[in-house]
Amino acid sequence: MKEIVERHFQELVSEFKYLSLVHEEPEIFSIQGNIEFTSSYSEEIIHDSYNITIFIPSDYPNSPPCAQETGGRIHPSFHTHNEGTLCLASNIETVRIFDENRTLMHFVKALLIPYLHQHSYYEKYGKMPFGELSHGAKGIVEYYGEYFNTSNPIITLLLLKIIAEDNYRGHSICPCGSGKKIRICHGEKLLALKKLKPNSFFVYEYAECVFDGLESDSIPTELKSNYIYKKISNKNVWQHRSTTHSPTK
Amino acid sequence: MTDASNYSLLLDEIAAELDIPPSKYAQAVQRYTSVGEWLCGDDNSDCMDDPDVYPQGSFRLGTIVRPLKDGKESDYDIDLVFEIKKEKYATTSKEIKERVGTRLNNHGTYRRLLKPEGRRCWTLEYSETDDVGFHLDILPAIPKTPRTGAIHITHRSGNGTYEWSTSNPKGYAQWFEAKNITAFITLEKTQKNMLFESNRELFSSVDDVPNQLIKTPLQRTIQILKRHRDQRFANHPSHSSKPISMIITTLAAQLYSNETTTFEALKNIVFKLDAHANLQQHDFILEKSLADQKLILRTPDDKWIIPNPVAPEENFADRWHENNHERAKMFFQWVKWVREDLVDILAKRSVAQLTESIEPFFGERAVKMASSRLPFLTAPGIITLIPTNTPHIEITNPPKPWSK
Repeated sequence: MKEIVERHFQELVSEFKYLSLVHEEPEIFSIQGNIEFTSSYSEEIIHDSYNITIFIPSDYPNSPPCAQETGGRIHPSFHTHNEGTLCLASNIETVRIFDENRTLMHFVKALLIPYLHQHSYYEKYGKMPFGELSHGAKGIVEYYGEYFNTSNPIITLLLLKIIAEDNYRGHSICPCGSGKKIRICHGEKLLALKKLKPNSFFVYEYAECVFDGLESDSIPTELKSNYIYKKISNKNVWQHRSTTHSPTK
Repeated sequence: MTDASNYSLLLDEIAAELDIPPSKYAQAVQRYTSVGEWLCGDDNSDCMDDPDVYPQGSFRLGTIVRPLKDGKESDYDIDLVFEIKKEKYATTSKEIKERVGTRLNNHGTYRRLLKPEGRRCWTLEYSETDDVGFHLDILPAIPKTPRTGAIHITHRSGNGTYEWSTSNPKGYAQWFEAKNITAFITLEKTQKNMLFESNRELFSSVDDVPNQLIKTPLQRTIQILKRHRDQRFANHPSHSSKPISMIITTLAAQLYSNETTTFEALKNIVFKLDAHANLQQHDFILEKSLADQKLILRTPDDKWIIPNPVAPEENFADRWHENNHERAKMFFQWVKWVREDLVDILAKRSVAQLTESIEPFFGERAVKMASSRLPFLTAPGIITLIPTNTPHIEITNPPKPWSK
């Protein structure tokens, strides 16, 4: 891992010169320093720099790094996690983008800088040019809606349910209502998603969306799932929810 | 080392550059001791019994900065109280002031250095061989409340009549020292050792290094703030309404919470001052923890109060409402400037780059001298100055930020 991190760092520092690699313990790395960039998105050009620390996870490059702003410029209320790292995108989107090319350079250019661009833009104009997702589960449902290109959250979740139940059948009819077989409809998107994370991730993601991400209190019958319920019912975290929401009979 | 700690070192060096250097400090002490001895040595006068001579103001507090005159650094101003032990009923304001003036005029050298009579003090102007001189302001006074240190000082009006007014420089200095003491104790030993090592010709031992040369993050921050104010208002149309040093010193000391670096202290003080800016709107209610400190108050009749911490009836902000609150506006405008110029900048620039961008706020000389003492900030190979090819990223299909 050390070799990979060092190689990826060398590539990164060739363009972002004010960064240094900090090697704290044998397997703990972070990258600290200043990232100066120019970026453009629909006519608007940003030239800015931020003090950033990038934390390398112990299973890098299987998991993406995370980043923190250290200059005190990004206010905690601007899309940051509780522990202070930046919410670059929804969890699965971070993994999806990082998976395109698992390097530090790609992480910085495809995830970190778009985020910083948006922050600089927000400082200047008080608006978010790419938009933002709602907080919590609602935002995750919105994300999958955009990913599957569906506007109905029930359909979004029916598609996600296929992966969460680990029940992909290419010849079944796609739940999106097109009348086509999944294979020639949303199949490609579903399979791309499926390979990003183990099934357990989608089980929890789905459960969270169903319990917390919908506007209504009651859960529509078609979204209930014995498979999901069994998987999560032995976890304490979810037990109290099953009494208030009773997701399955 | 992080950018913040490097930046803090740079701020310390800049403040040290604005400060009076140890050799100059020794010279100043020698100058005012001689003047004090001459003033006290007036055998012919019944009113000079056991007088008291002591420094006051920024020289005493350790927050002195070299003043700017017409945009250039000029002579240090040193304030001295000359307290004659005489009861108020037994003398007059005019008598006290003139007695001191006469005594100074009886000395060949002081007569030559003496400037025309000021409103409250007599000024001796020393031009020194190294071109860095002193203005020694001598403030004649009599005791008011010896227990608290309060004094009566003389005040000459424009029409030539004399009155008394009150002041308490000793009490204020003790108050300030109490705010500063925790940090002082922590830093005393290291700083004295360093000062002794680098000024062996001045001191015979470490114990010989005077306490006044030790500088805490609070004192450094006040020096930084005062010079920033002087530079920012140098050619400003509202020059005469710039924040006074007493207000800057008082508020900074009240807000200081023993931060261990100058940058942390500066950041904390400036953020909390900025939080008061909304007081300019009428119905604004300050957050309780700040309101409880009673730093800046608004009265129902639309005036402002910044109480003197050792004499609450004295209001440092008594003129803030004048001319449509001009002084209040200038104060909060200046706080915003400090925040933008000196605090927020750290997130936008690397330390090497910001050395250049803070020059206008402290003067080229001070910043150049300071950064020359921190060669690692700009050493080639570690940080190169302004990159010629900043990476450019074309953003397509950006992710939307999300949080729990």
